Amino acid sequence: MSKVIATRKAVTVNPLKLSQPLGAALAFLGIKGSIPLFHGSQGCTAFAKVLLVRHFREVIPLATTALTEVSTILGGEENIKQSIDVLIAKAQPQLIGLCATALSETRGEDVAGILRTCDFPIPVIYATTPDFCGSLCDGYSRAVEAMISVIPQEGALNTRQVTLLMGSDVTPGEVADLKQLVRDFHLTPIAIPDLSTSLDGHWAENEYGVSTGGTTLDDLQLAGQSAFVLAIGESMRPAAKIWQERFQVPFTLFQGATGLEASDRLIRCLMDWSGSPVPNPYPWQRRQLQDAMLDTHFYIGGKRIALALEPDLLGVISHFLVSMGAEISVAVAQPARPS
Amino acid sequence: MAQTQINQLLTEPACEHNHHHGDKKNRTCQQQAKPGTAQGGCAFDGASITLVPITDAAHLVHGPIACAGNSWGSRGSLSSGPLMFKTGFTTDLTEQDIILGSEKRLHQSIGEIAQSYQPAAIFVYCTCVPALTGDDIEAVCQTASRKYKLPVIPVMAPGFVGSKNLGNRLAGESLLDYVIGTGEPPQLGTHVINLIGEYNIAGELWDVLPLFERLGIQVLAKMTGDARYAELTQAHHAHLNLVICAKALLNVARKMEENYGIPYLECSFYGIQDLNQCLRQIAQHFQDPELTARVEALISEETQQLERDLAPYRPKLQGKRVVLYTGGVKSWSVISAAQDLGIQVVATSTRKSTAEDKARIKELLGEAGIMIEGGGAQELLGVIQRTKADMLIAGGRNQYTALKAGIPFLDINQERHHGYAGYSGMVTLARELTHALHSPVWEQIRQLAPWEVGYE
Ligand code: SF4
Repeated sequence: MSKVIATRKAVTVNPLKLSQPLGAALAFLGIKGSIPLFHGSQGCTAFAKVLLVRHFREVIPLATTALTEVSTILGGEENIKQSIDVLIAKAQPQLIGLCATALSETRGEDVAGILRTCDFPIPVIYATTPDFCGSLCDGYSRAVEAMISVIPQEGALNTRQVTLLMGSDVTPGEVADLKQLVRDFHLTPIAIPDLSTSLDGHWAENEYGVSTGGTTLDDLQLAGQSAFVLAIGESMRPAAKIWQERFQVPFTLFQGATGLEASDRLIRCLMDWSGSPVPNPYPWQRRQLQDAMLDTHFYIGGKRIALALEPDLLGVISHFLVSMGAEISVAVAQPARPS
Repeated sequence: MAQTQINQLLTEPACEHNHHHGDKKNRTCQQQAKPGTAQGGCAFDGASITLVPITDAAHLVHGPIACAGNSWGSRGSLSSGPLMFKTGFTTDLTEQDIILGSEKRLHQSIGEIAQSYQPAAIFVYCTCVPALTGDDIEAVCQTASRKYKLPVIPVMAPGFVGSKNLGNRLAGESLLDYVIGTGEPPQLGTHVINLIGEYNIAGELWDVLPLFERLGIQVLAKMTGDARYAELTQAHHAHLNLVICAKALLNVARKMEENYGIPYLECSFYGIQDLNQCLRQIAQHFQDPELTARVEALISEETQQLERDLAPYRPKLQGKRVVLYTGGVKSWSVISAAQDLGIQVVATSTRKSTAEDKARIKELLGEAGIMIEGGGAQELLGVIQRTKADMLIAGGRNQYTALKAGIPFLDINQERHHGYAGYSGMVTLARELTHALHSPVWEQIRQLAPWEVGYE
């Protein structure tokens, strides 16, 4: 029996929670040539930037609308417009991802309305991501939802093309593996967002100010023609639903792709979609996984484990650990965002 | 936040930034980011840099998660004892708190910390959202302080009032208003000093304190590296304030001079020349022939030892060309340290420097030296290419800019892992510079790939 306990303490000690705008920035960084722009004061951007730079050990493009006390109270419309103009002139981005912060949302600015009155030469995508609710996982999915609501274009369905909606807990390495898996079935993957080519850690000279890899804007538009949609991570469900409504293409959602059972289901799904038999390396990899499970179940079995993770990842990891015989004694997560 | 107070701090008279030149207003201290850029931390960030090193205090960030969640535990100040300051406390405001007002939550949070952790004091940092909604944080702190019988100090530096620099000063104001002068007189020696603006990054204070001990100089309060709350309350009993490498806290030094008659000296612990000069200035101030003799003896002993320790590194560093990209005073204090090692600084940033700093830099760099006024990564790399520099010395946020461009890098900001102050800090600096410049990876990554080499 598990018990859900909501904390009643007033003070939060050593917070493990990361803010929504940070998650949104991460999602936007998975689009090639993009710049995330925080609609807030300079510090919000500076902290997020330092955190991402240290985590990924990469140059991270991230800008601020630089709200001051006065512009917060009077409204940040000018700041938004000016920031976007400056960024376009300075860095020639393909896309700008505007993220709300607690500050802009406390004042309650109609950013979407402001953007409607502007005519920018590139897509400017707005994600409503105040820091005072949700966490990284929510901000990330909101940014994905905002992007796919407008950019992918309808067209003749391509029966060999798969849209991969990648949740916030899918690492750059995992995105790369999943894309390869899809390709091995002779299907064409378009991952949204695609961290495997932007934050994978590659040495690229002479590119500054915008993300150096990720889903290209062309691919993002083309993705609307995919006959198949595979979403990884529960927090991708709202995005997958938007997709289904926009393009009348059903989606398949996997909570995660970790562990034997999840992998089997994923392979089964791709076999059905592609009509191809399982490609070469995978039966062998399955044997390796089976062997690893047998070899390690002594160590993992019966262990009592405490987890503290973003909601999606918590689900995936606890599933896997339980499938290995471990017992999850405590799991700490942010409450899911109110929908 | 009272605008008058901010204006006063922005026009801090002891700060060179504010000495107007002709009719051209010098607004370097105001340094607010421009829309569409990413220009560094907010005032709250600056205030945390200044106060979080107080080791036995609890630091409570009043605001939504971003302010504390993305920053706690990331600073490099070390403690020789209490670790209270390492714990990240925040009220983590939710939508409901913001709608209904968050004063009650703040009060409860202070209570929970007071009861469960018994810190020496609690510093409460006001961030943008509660500042915007108009919470009366000062009143909450006062009530809580009475109720829990411990100092609860409001730090009114919400991010949107300005830059890191302003935040440093606002934190200084909190010290002046609530902390300094509230403590019992301690046992005093004949030469008692405070250190202002030294945060014990990577423990570098510990390379300097033994020097003072050998000289018979008592360091009363450290603001705020490895400080205990109590020593700060007694700071008004010192005979002299040393402002280390930081214009940012000049307001504290100047007001302590006004209020308590304590004079101050500005100096740097980086580099052999500057450190020697600093010690001599102190001796000169106290006008004590015995102290002067001790200082001279120490300098000659330390410099001799240092020459021996630096000998292996000198040939490897001699004549190397570096670009320095950092703020304010550090730009000249680090130049002088580099020059002591035979390194040539070919360009440096002056975007946060005062007119006085700039004059000093000009003198140190010579006519050929380039001063970088502003700009981002691209401009910086342009300068590195033009000057054919061997290396970039800068803050952590430029680390990957340099590495991506294939240029050796040394971190000198507050997140770094090595202390460079004092005589022994010079040896660490020489060692780290040598490792960065002579790492075997440089040659390897510059090799062409097999498919890039033509067959001849
Ligand atoms: S700018 Fe304001 S909201 Fe943003 S991190 Fe700084 S204090 Fe917090």
